[in-house]
Amino acid sequence: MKSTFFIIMLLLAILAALLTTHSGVAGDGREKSVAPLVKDNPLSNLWSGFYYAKSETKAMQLDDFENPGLLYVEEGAALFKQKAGEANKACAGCHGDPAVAFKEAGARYPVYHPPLKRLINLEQRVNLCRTEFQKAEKLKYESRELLALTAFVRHQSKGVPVRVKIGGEAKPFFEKGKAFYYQRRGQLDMACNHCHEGNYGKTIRSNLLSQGQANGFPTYRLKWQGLGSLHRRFRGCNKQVRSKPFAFGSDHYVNLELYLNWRGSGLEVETPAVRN
Amino acid sequence: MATFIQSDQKFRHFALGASLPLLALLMLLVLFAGGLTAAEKTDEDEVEAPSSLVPYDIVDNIQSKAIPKPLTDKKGDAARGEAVMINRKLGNCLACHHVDLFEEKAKKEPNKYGDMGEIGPPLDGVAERYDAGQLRLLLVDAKQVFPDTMMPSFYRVKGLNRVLPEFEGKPILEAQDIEDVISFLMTLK
Repeated sequence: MKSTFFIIMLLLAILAALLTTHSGVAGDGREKSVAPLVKDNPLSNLWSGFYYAKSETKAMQLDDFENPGLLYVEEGAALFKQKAGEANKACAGCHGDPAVAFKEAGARYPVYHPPLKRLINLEQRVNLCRTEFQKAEKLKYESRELLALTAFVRHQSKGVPVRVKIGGEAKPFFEKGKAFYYQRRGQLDMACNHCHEGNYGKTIRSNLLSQGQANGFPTYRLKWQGLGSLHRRFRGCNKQVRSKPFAFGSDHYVNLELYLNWRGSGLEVETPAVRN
Repeated sequence: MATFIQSDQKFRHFALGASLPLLALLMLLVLFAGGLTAAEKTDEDEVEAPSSLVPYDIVDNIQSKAIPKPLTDKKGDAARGEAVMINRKLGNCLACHHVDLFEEKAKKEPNKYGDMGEIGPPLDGVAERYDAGQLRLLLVDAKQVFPDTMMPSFYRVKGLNRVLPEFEGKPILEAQDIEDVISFLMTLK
């Protein structure tokens, strides 16, 4: 009798444990931190912004029918196949199957681009393809089309851990990005590290500070009611500390983008993430 | 973060003297003539705006650094200081600091007293840890005491980097605001 009771209790306990790990988003891998892939990372554990999001927001990101960023990805898929420019070529003409072509690419940018002797990010890579190969006009930064194409390309790398090259010719740009990160700015005189290195996991007013990771961009922000680039987020951060933002696609921001991706090396690409 | 301080919010009007509007106009002209794009491209270092702040002396003793003398002749008003503290466009102290005393008030007026942050040390008992002169320096320019602090310098306009034009040359708080906030903080025993 006693042993039957014990077995029933044991089974109940196992059931309870299973339910806890598999209920809703609580069991998602992103609820755990990841060890950085790189040495010298000031963060000993990496947490995607996903971890700091509200549970409804998390659920929205994980549900393919609910994630509004996926609408942009679909638009990007259509643009990818569409012929454009004087060359009358589609992206698909050169790249073939995007799932194969971009499996890694979305997790590797920004990269050093020798002809320009500077870094380029994914948005700029898309525009270089347009001007060089399609003989088409550049798409405006933050335009719906460029966001859609960028999100589409990076979405192909979803689940791939971010890892960027910072050595060789990329090195000075990486160093500039790092300097930018630790540079105080604006009337409030704050640097990125004040919120995202020293105080993540704490609230500033009602907002929970994250590590400021870049692995979900372009990201659908509820505040924006739309998809936005990492540079749009940078501009918002700069303005919040009452500092003059830089232009979309400016070298300052692309260098910072490389530095942030280095800090987040090991986190999986989540594009399109959903955040507050 | 979004609610911390919005850049597009209207900033308070400061009574800084009659010559200032003219000065601001001149600066604006220089900015346009000099080329906005040039300012965009050059990085961190900016031309500093002339200061219109009240001068103050820092006394640096072995134990403590302070500004013993008030910035204004008018005695601080604690009630007004509290209002400055909780105002999200002014002190916005509660973005980072907790005050136990405000917990009750937050129940009635969550917009004013709610959502106290966790970043800075709680302010309860602050008057027992610091005297008015020390608090004055911490408000004016906390980095003189804690060089790496995240806390803004509320009464400083020099040595800042790429300040948005609408805030250029202006301190976050006015001298009287600082004195009023100190008066309130001195009640937190």
